[in-house]
Amino acid sequence: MDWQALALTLKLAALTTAILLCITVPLAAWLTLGRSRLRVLIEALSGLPLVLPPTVLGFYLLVLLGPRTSFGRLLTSLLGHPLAFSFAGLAVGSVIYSFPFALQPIVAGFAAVDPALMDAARLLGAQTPRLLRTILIPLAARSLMTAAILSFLHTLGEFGVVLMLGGDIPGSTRTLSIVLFNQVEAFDYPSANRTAILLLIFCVIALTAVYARPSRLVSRLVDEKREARRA
Amino acid sequence: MLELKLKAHRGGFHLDVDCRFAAPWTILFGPSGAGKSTLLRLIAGLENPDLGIITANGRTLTDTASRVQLSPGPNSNQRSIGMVTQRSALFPHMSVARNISFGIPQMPSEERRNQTKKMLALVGASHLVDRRTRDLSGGEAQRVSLARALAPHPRLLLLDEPLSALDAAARDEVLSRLQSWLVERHIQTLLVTHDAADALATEAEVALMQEGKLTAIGPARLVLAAERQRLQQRLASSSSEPQ
Repeated sequence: MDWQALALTLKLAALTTAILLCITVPLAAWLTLGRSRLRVLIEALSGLPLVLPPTVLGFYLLVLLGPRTSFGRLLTSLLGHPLAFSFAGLAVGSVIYSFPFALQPIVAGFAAVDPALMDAARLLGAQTPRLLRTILIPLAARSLMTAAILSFLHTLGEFGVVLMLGGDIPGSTRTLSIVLFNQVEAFDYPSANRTAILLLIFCVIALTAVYARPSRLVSRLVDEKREARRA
Repeated sequence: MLELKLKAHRGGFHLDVDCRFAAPWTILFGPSGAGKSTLLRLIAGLENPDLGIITANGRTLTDTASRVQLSPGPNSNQRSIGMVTQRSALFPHMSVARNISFGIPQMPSEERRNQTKKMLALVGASHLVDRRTRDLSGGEAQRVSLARALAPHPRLLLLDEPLSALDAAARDEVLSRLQSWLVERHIQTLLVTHDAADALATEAEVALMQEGKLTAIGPARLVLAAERQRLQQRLASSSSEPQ
């Protein structure tokens, strides 16, 4: 087992998830509460990684972050090294690649919060930051958890973007997916099997957590309905 | 004194109101779909009118011409309007006490606790202070919702059938206690009802709303008598039309 690759993969997945939650929670609030016409465009753009082949996304990011563009040259001069073929570049690519997997559950969760509660909070003086902190996030906590798990898993198994943008540098950009690819390419099927099983176990555990929650939600709603009827 | 000159379109519905509410306690009466709730939402600042101006005691809350739209909320730079609707809309993840103190975060905690207790006592719900909101009955939730709206002492209170889940005796008891409390503190109140009995059972001023317009405003007996006469005329004219 390549423990270095495992540690790097987990670090990348955790960092990507943290960055995504920091970006998508306020963005989802803006999409849910805002009235700007740009919302449709932002939602469409954020969904692009869902339909775009990862290699295409990886290629464009490689070009954008590399020395061929002025943006890439500016980043290189600011950071002192190019973002492509580095862990930081990989994190940028992962954030973009997993973006819709974080944003969409949170938008759905925020949109499901009863608008009457938002009106009540506004009438009591809550502006958007307080509305987000005290009403939206607590009531959509399950959606946030789903977004975090999906982002983590999606980053864990990503291959195309990692290969295009990061290559295969041990300790820097070599993730478990790359290790698996290398093991298969070398016909080392027993090692490939162990790596694949590890990724599979991660996914099964996390997805079980995601799918176990709706049943609890349903039972809670049934309880509430029963209580309301009793009242 | 609340002055309104508003136009708003919502789908096929047109609201066009030009009036002045001077009484401390006014009942807004009209059939379902007349636009009463929309009017309250516009006054509260939860919706924007297409055109118009709203002033309360000389203070401009909304003015579409000069793009003034104060945000809802109890602070001095906000509208300072409390609103309670038929749906209590209590925050389900907070206790009764936290719901009531939500609108007074700037108060010291001791003062906030006292204010919470006072408001609950006013609506006859002192025993609910530590309860979870999901354990409340419909009537209890409405009492708590009313206490929550009163806690920040708004300058104007909008009540949209706020105690519909209570029986008539309990509702009258809460409303009469509330009315004197509000009048003492000069908090002007608009109370929506579509129940003619509720409107007639009061000495308050009644504003009659129909099809998005305020058609009459004045003492209940006069306004509702004119309405009764108009209905009779309409019935008479429709029955005299050739079949």
